[in-house]
Amino acid sequence: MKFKDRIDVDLLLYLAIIVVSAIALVFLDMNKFEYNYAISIIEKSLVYAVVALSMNIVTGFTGLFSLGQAGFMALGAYTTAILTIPANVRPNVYYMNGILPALENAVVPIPVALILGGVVAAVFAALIGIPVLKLKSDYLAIATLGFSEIIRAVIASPMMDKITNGSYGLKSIPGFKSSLECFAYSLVLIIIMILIINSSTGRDFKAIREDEIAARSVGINIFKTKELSFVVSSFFTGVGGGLLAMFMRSIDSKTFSITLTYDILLIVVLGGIGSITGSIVGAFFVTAGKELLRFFDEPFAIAGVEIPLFKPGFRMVIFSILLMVVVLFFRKGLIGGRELSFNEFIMLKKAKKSQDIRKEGKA
Amino acid sequence: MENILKLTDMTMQFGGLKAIDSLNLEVNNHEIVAIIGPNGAGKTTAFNCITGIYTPTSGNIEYIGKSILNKEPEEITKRGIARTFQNIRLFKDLTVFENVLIAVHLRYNDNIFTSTFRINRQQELDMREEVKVLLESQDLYKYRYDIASSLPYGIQRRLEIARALATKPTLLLLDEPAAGMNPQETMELTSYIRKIRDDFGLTILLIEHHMDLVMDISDRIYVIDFGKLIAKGNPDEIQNNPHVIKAYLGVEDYA
Amino acid sequence: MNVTQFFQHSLTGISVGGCYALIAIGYTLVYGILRLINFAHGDIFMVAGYFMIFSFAVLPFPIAILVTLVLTTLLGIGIEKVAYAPLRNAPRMSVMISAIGVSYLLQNLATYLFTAIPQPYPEIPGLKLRIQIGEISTSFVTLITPIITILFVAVLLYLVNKTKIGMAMRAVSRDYEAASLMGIKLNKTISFTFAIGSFLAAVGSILYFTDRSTVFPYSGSLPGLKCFVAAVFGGIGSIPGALVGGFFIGICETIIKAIGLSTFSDAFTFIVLILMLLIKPTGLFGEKNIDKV
Repeated sequence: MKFKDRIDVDLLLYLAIIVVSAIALVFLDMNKFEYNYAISIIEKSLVYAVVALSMNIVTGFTGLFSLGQAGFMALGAYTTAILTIPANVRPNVYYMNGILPALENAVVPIPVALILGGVVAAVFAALIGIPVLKLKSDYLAIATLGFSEIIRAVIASPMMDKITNGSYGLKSIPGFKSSLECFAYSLVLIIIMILIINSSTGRDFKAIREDEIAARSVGINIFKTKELSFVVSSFFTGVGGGLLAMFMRSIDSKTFSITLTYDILLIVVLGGIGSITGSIVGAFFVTAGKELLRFFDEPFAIAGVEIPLFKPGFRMVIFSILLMVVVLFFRKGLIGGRELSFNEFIMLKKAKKSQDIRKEGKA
Repeated sequence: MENILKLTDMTMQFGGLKAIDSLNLEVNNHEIVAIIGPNGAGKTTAFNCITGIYTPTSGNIEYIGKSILNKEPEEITKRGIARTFQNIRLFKDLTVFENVLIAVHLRYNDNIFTSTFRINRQQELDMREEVKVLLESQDLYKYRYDIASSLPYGIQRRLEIARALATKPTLLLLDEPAAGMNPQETMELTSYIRKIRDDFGLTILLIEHHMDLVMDISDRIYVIDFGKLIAKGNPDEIQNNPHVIKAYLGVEDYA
Repeated sequence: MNVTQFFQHSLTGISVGGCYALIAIGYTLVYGILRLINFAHGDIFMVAGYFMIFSFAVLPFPIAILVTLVLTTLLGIGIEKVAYAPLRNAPRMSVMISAIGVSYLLQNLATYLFTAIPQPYPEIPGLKLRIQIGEISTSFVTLITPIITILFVAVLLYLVNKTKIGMAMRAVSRDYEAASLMGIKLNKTISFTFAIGSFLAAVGSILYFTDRSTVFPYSGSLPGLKCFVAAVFGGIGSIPGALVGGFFIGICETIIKAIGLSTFSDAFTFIVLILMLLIKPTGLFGEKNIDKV
């Protein structure tokens, strides 16, 4: 029973990773001042892992190309921020234009706010999905990209001043009390997404990705299933946006530009489209990589001679080239289009061994 | 004999081209009926109309006495018509087991909540058991962990049929099941098609170019050319029909 | 809004629309042939802006214009060769991601090389000339943009409908495989298509930026998005469609801005896309495409 084995070994491995990470985070939290930088990289990676995996649901597992991540994150982030900024600091936050009376005291617990953020994103996704997914899912990418830009424009518009504080953005958003809190939220979201991907619903998603006509021929309603995938993905993207708001503590419409979507796409592609572990590892790799390569953006001199390459923006050029290299030469991502799995690793070795034996036999 | 499928004056027009021109066709319960005709005669188009991928320009399609015109393909599958494709359409990157498992979904009532939080555990087990039984009966169980696209061509064909069977159809449409097979394989396929017809109580409509198989297996044959029905009857009648010979050999005024 | 203002805005709208039409053609041709939304197209348009700035700085303006047109055309061909051609048999999503990758690279490269600060666009002598027609005041560029656009579209239509390479383009967009079996050189035809698209984007870029006065690394992304919608509106694959779509989006956008709803002028484009998909998914001049099963 190959299936059973895999679950056991990998599950143990994953549990071990979770426990070790949690212990490590407790340690970091206790020495907060010393490890401030590391903690912030880890928290950001966790949030990006959630969003990357949510993008993977629709892009990697259903085969629909959505580029609305920044927009859906904005919806989630603003909903979360508006509902969690403590009532007593609100007059300070909205000092320029005032706040809508109805929102003055609208404060809900953080988990509720996060879920509501997801719901708002999901509702918008459902509305866009109906015409686009029914007729030409080709255009989903452009429709979501457009939507995302519009959400940004609307958020910053003077008409929304009393709700989103217009172009001033929102600040004093309650952050994570500890990195463990961020870890807990992300973990719960990631586990739910993994459960979806591996459920019978997730199998329907994959069937559509593989072949729409074949999927219909076995009774899958492709419009409903695509819509479901898109809505579910956007829900988690929205919640991820809420987490990002908590991580950043202050947001404005510029936070959610197309660049944010591209950053998420970078993670998904580098990690491997359709790979769960790829998205998670990719999130840490890209986030940490960007921080570590920060010196590329600063003037750099060897023996007193300044190297002209090193100036602001160099980092992003490197990441863009990396993205192109992966797309062109490692189409399945850096991990190779499969899940990181201890058991598969053993099996690969076994398979190789038996191959070697066969080869020797022939020789 | 109970009528399963009935096409009445079905016409399918693409721009100026009539791919199918008022086709009348009937398939009765438990029959094996073949549609033959030269390439481009409109055979696959007929299948696509029956399975709802295309909506015919005019005419009617009845399945067990009810019109299935304008129904979506998935709805038609749910009513009991399953099919295979001329150029094999499997879920290529999924395993053999998953390919068949997905086809079982339509008979179980899952939703995203029950499936995500594993409330449907029993259902999932039932589905898997059903797939196991089906794969064993089709001699495919040993391939269950293999990725569909990695299988030899012949096995892929059988897997596609198994996947169609998993939807528990009444009527099975096979689009060139013997394409690319050698005579030995074709012979095996002949008995295989009979066997599944009997084991699963199916009615079968098939498109095929291998005449040995067609003549051997079919109760009745329809011949179409340029979208028009040019002959119908049992294998003997078809073999001696001058129109058919003309369509196939392109001989003018043969009769 | 009085009559004078109305004409004033209409003129601006037609001018913006002309630029959009020139860009939209690039989208429509590439989508027609490769079924690819060329996300990098808007950024090619942006890079053309920088080409002009730098060539203008060292060369007399007619040569600078020529250099810009040639460089942009080569850039388009080069992008196709490097980023899309190797993925000819890959899933469509890989090619789209590659296009995004190119877009991301061009934007980041522009930020790196020229900083995110908007750079002043050179004034081509004569283009900025103020012209007074009755009560309407406008610049020369606004007047000639629609004329240039229509002129180029006419040439393009002749090219596509009457020449051998045009026939090859139409054949490839009908049926990729059949065309190559008939001896049409696929790569050459595709390169040619990208060349035309990029060339027109460069023309559009000169007209557009002369009017706007500055270029920055993201100045191509939103116009790009709008022009794709313009192409969808007119019916993707159709050149007259792209023309009509470009003018439509340009005019509507200007009117919306004029009545004080600037925030929603961008949202409008997106609503057009949604409505078009609901009402006539094939666009104004589009043909129905049936997927072969």
